[in-house]
Amino acid sequence: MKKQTYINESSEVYDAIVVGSGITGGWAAKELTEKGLKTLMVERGRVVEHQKDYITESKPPWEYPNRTKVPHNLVEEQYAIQRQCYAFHDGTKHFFGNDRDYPYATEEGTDFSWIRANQLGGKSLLWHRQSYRMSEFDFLANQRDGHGNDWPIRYKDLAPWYSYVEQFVGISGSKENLPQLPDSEMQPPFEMTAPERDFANKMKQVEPDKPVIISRCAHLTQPTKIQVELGRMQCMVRNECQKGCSFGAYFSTQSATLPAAARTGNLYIAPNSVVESLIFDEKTNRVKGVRVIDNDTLATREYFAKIVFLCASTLGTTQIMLNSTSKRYPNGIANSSGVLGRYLMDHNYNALVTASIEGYEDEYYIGRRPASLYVPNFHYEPGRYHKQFKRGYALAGTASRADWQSMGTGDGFGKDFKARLHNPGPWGIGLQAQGEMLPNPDNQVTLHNSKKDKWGMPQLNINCRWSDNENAMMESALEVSSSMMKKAGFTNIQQRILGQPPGLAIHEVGTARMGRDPKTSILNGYNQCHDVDNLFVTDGASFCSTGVGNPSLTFMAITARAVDYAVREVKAGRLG
Amino acid sequence: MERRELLKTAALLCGSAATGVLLSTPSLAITNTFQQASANAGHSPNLLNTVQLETLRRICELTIPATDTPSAAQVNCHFFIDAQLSSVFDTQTQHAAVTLLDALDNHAVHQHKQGFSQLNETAQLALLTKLEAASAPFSVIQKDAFKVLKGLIVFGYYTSQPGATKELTYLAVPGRFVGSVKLSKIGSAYSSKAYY
Repeated sequence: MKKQTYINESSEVYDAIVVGSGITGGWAAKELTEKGLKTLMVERGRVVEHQKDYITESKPPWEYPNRTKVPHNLVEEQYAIQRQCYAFHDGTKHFFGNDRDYPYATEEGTDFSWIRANQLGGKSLLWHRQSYRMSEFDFLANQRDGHGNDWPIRYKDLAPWYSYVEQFVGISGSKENLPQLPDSEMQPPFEMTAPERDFANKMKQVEPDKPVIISRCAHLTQPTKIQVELGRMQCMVRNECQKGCSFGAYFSTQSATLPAAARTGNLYIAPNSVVESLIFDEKTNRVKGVRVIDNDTLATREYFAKIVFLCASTLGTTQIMLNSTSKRYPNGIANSSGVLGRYLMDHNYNALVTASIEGYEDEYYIGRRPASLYVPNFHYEPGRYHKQFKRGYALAGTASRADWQSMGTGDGFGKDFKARLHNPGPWGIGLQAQGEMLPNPDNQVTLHNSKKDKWGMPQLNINCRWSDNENAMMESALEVSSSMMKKAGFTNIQQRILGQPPGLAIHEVGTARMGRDPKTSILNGYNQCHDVDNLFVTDGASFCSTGVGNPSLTFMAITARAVDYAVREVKAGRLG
Repeated sequence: MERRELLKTAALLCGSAATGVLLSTPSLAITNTFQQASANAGHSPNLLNTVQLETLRRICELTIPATDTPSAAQVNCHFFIDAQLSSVFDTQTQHAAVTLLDALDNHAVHQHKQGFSQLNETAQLALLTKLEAASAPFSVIQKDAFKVLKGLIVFGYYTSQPGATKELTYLAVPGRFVGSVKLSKIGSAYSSKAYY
């Protein structure tokens, strides 16, 4: 990035401000700048430059002081929440927020693990990159079963935008023609291993409504011109993505949207700028910009623009909106409906089943595949609901061979023991549920009435819990996964409920939802605030329901669509 | 004390100066050896005393011995474990490990009138096998503490450069995913992982 891209003080009125630089903010900035708007991206954290700042990339374990483990005291003092994320280790911890600096409260008797990534690129550097379209059934679910409000958009509204973002991002996967999981614009899929392929074939015969497919992920398997022009290359299957990828093989802000935005010449970035609130003009009933506290010095400053896109992550965006109070909106900007902060959702990943696979002793694989097996939701419409719960779940998992890590505490000593670990061990498989969480007004975030963070921002108080619906769903997922494994002839089938609190799927959505009715929603069908027409929210906060798929691809599509609308409104003279 | 082996290790780690000290005053020498060796290896033994460290070194050696690739002791797994326990683990786990190493030594003295590291290999293995089976005089709690140590030996060995690259196959940049390949074409299990 050129030096002049980064700004600090500025009295300029930009065409647009984008708050946040993760998957959503990157997309908003790319689309706005490509459409000719002079855009300021405001990021609360430090600058992370592509390649140069991937300080642990390719570092082998023996070069870490604790072989990638993080010292106990450091974890206890600064990363007690973040450590719960599977990807947290000594090679990635610099991309996770520090819990000491980013405190939040939870309502007594509830628990929520809020995973943070406050730097340029946000969670786009850390995401697991699994990419799925929501289906027509997902957009109809609220209306059909009465939980939550009806989405103001349908699948057909988003479908062209999915195609648009997929061609830019690069999604690998297989065409399956499934009603509940529309195909993406795809690059070639990753291969299955031999037992995975046999499992998929067996399920085709005995569980035809539960196809086992290869997961779809934002990794280049056959880069196109669009991607090559940005310096991106084919995935090298290291699966060390969260350290940063200099090949640009997985989609991140740094690898894709940021260079695309920068080459327009319309992008400016204000790093280390913690947005405290939006500047609201009572006279025009519009936002004029953002109030910022410097991440390091705590100095205050303001940035101005004609339109503002909030893309600060579901909870980050909601915190800013709740903290933007005025005479007109005493309970948070654009919150005349009172639903701001309500309907927090995540995915429930608590059901895990593992099994042993006999045979295949001579079969092995090359590489660390960033994809897994995937069983799309088979309870995808009310007529297919299980009688014990509403909505459904997908299953994801992998078959692989045991190794020193899993066999290392086995019995034995000496040359025999060493020889045993020299060869890969038996095959095993795991399937984990990814369950939809119902929208529920009681799952709510508010501003804490006394606790503040070091920037003086009131802390979020999170009150969120699983319902009986999600718990029943997980019990069923155990049964179904076990049954599939049994039919496949797997042995030693073990079921486990993990008992994780909401948050750890890192799919939080819903707290500034879209809707047709301004009395029950914050945003219209174009992610524009009903109450304040030059304020847009296009991150997960805008969701009316979660579906079962990983939400990032939908963040992208919904953002590109919203920008297209906003720019048309600007050009028509109705905005800005 | 298996002096030859200790000598070899000392020579390997510290050069001839330490070896000279070792020959003259054994008990003091052990201390010096470990201090110098650890300085060389970038560790500062702070959890385990010299007797415990020597017991652990023997366990490392017996668990993963030298073959055509180095042993766990040769790649300093005992120093690694001392450092890892001190830094990464809570005090309860540290205490359990220290207590276990003391218990092993005490049982050796009780049965053989010699500390664990002075026993011959057969006697050492016999004690470890009983420990791993939680059979008398060892408890299940002691067995569990041992499994933590054993896990660390294995972790330390296969994340060391020789363990990862010589004993197993380390693929830094695989390049392309191949779902089905004959094991014989790879030759061994992989040491490289997405997450350790």
